[in-house]
Amino acid sequence: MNTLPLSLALLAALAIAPAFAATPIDETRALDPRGSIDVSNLKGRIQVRAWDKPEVRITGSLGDGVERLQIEGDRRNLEVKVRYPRGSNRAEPTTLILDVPQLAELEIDGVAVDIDVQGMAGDSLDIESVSGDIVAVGAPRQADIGSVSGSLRLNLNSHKVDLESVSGNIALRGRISGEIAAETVSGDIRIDTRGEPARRLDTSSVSGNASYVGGLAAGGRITVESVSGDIRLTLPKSLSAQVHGESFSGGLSAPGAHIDKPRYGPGASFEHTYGSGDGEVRMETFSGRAELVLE
Amino acid sequence: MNDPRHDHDLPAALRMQLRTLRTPEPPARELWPDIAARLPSQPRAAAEPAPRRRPRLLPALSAAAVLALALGLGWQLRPSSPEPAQAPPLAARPAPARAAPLVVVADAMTREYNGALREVPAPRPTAPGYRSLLELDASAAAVRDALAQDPDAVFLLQRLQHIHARRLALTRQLASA
Repeated sequence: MNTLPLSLALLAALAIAPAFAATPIDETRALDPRGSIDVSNLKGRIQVRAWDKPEVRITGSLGDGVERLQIEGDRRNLEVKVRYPRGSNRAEPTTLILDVPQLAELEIDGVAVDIDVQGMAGDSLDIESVSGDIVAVGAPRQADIGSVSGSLRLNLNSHKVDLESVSGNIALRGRISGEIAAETVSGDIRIDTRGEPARRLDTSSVSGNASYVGGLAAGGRITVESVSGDIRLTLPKSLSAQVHGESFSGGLSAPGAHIDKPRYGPGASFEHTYGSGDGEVRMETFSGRAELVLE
Repeated sequence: MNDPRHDHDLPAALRMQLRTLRTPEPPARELWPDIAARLPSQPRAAAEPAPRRRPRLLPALSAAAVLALALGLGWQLRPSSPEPAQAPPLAARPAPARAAPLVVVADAMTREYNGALREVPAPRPTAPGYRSLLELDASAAAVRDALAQDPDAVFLLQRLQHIHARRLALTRQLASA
C-alpha cells in the first residue's frame, strides 16, 4: 500500500494545526491615569490588576474560533472587546489579563465569564456578567456590580455600592460610607461594613436570606425586605433609630420590642425606638423571619 | 444598572394608612337590635341596588402610581424591532371579581410584561443564564402567591415589578447573545 499520500496529508494537517490553537495576546496601549476602559468578553475569564503606569497592557489568550481581539479608542477612552464570528457558538474560552491604571474608570461586560478585579481605585467600577463569578477588591468611589447566576465576593472601600444577582450569593465586606443597595432573588446577601455606619442600606430578596453587620449613620436609613428569606440585622448597642418590623407569617424579634399580633388573622408587626430615634430601620417579610440584634 | 429601588418610597403617612387596612375593627356596639326594630315598619319597596362601598382612595392611588410606573417601564423596555417570539409567558391569572387593588395591579402588570416578552425572540435553552429565566418565573409565581395572601403588602408588588423587569431585560440579553 502506498502510504506517501497519507504521510503528506498528516504533515499538512500538522502544519496548519497551530492556526487553531489558542492565540497568545500581548498588546499595550496608552491610557490616561484617570481615563476609562471598557472590556468585554463572551466566554472565559477577565482578570484586571491595577498599576501605576499610564498605559494598559493586555495579555492572555484568545480561544479557538474567536474572530479577533478588537482594541479601539484613544488615551482617554479605550475599548477592548473579544469579537466572535456572527452566529458562532463554538468558540473556546478566552482569557484576558489586563494591567490598568489604578485610578481609571473600569467597565467590564461578560456572559459566561469569571471576573477578578484587584486594586482599582478610580471613580467607578462597573461589572456585569451572566453566569460567571465575580471577585473584586479595591476602593472605587462607586461600584455597580451584577451577575445573574454567578456569585459576588467583594471587598470594597467605597462611597456607593449597587449590587445585584438572581441566584448567585452576594458577600460584601468593606467600609462603605454612603449607600449600599443589594438585590437578589434566591441568592443570599451578606454585608459587613466592619463597623462603618452606612448612610443608607437597601436590600431585597425573594427566597434568599439577608444579613447586615454594621452601623447606621445619624439620620440614616435601613430598609431590608424579603418574601420568604430570613433577615438578620446586627447593629451597635448605641443604635439610635426608630425600628419597624413587619411580617405576614414569619417571626419577628428585636430587643425590648413588643410584637403586635392582631386578634383576627395573620400578621405581626412592631415599632420600637432605640436611643433618640435618629435614624430609621424597616424590616419587612412575607414568611421569612426578621431579627434585630444589638451587639 | 437601573435602580428603581430608590423610587419606591411611599410617604410614611401613606404606608401607615395602608398598614391599618389589615387591622380588624369590630363594631363598637351590638347593631342587630336597632336593625330588627326597624324591619316590620318599613314597607316592602322595590329592590334597591346595594350601596356601593366607598372605594379606598389611598390604596387605589398607590396602586395607580405603581401601575403607571409598571406601564411606563414596560413601554420603555419595548423592543425597537419586534419579531415573532416564543418566549414562555409569565403566569397571569384573571383578576377575580372584587380583587384587592394590588392584586389587580399585579395581574395587569403581568399581562403587560407577557405582552412585551412575546415581542422578544426566545433565548436558546443552552444559553448561559437560561436557568435563571426559569428561576425568575418561579420567583414571580411565589411573589404572586404571597400577594394573594397578603394583598395589602406594597413591597410584594414592588418586588414583582422588579422581577418582571429583570426577566424581560435578561430575556433580551440572552436572546441577543
